Amino acid sequence: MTAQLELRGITKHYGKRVVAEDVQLSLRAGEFFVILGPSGEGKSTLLRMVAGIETPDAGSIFIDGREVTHLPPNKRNVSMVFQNYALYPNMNVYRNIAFPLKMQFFPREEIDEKIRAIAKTLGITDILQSPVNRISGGQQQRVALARAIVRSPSVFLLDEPLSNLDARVRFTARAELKKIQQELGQTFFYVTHDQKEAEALSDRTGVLHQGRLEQVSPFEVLYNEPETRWVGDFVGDVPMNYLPDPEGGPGEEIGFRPDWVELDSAGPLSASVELAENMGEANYLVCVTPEGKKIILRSVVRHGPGETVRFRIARAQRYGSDGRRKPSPT
Amino acid sequence: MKPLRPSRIALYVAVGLLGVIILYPIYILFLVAFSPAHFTLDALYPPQVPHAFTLQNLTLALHSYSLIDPLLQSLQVAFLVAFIALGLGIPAAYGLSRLPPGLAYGITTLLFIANILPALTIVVPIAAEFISLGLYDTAVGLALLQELVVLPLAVFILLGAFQSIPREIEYQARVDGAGLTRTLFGTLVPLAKAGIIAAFLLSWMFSWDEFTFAVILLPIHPTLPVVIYDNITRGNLLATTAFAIVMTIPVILLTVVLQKYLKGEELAGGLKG
Repeated sequence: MTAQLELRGITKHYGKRVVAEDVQLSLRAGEFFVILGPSGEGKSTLLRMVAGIETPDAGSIFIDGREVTHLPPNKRNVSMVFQNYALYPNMNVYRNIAFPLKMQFFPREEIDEKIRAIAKTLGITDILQSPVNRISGGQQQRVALARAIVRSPSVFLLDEPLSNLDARVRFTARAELKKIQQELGQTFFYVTHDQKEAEALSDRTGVLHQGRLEQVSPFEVLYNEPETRWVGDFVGDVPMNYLPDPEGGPGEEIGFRPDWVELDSAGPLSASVELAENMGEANYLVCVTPEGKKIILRSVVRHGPGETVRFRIARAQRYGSDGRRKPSPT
Repeated sequence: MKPLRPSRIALYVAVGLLGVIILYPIYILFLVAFSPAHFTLDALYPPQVPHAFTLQNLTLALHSYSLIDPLLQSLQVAFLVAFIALGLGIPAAYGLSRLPPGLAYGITTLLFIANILPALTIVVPIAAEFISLGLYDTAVGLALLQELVVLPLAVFILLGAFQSIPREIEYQARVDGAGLTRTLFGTLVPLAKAGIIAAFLLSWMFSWDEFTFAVILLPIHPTLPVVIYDNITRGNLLATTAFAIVMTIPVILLTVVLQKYLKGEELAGGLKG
């Protein structure tokens, strides 16, 4: 299958700050791709370079096999949803959604037909004539989405479109977004700092750290086989645990998640509980090993501070002294 | 009804006093214009309230002086100034608003250099140059000269208006398929409407009662302020009041028509920093 969007060696610096460093990426047609990373480390800039709002210092961008690196945004056939939705405040909902169609000189009847259809899909038919500052945040998000999908671009770019919603609305909006993407069968390029969104939405996720793509894979692979220690720490509710690798050289460690550990009174390893935190169905225990290493374990049974627990590591990943994963899992 | 708090009462008194101070000269202007002269200019102790009403002062002034030509000349210059200020100011302010704010305000400050010099020192060499260009004693020439002062102010106000629009709106319009011109005039200009109207009003009003440039550049076809000045120096005070009223009415009309588009924060946006 051909790549819908391809980034080759994209590099961008703002003075000394690196926002993208040799980013290579290839999105398949119809893929929901999520860029995940901490705030302020270049995710939005990457998206804006694809949109044509920013220009990379080096590298090239291909959409549908056509190089667009230096084309203006209106020549790229992409549509975008910004974090603050960027609805045109001087237009009502209807005219907001109509704007991209008018720019493509669609006849008026066809515009109307498309808007009615999209409004029905997104449940915003009754607010079509409302001014955009009189509708709720959830409705604004739908209008921004409607405006993006009302035409059929090659790639949809979404910059944290759910982060301005409150938690309850965000959950339903997320499910809806996934459903719409599957129905449209279109390519989505989505940026977020929220790993729950990456997990729920993405076919593949790329983890961006200081302008570098640390790992590109389906989300469960990020969780189970983090390529670098940084990914292991960033993905998951709690950072990964590390202990010296008994079979490895100096500086080599094994990394494991709290749920890869079995608490067992006959287990080979021990640690004393410093702090216990109840998280609903399980307790997270912040423990210290006899060697003074801090690790986090998971237990269904309550343990108080000061208790000693014994455990065994059911599975783990091995990391070299450079912080990269070594191929053979122990 | 609730009794007013003392601070409220003090506020109303202050507002009332300010109103009186500002409106009193205009009141006197109308009093002199519509009262017979023996109650006002010819009286030793002129009363502060109207005693009789007459239109004779006005009709006399309108018959004995040619008022229409200076009025048309002033209108022509004022609208020219306002439209040139917007035509050049909108693209300039948009361009500046895309620069880092510190740099944009630095450049805007440089624009004010012509305002720092005394008006008379700039107008004489420019008037000499305009003679050879055929712009001397023309409305266009005066309008261009007044832009020296008006344009920096207009750019300053418009810059604030453009800077208050989120950048994402512009990006969105670009991604949605709008070219640069369509983005500017289809989405940004409507959003900067209040600032644009403020800049228009300010430019128009500056030109309307501008004197120094007008008296030097338009001696043969003068504007209203120059005609009023001529009449004061000749002692035609009654005719002067008539001119002054003719001069005030367009300002009031324009302000009333446009003020509903103006909001305080738009002007404040232009005046920050």
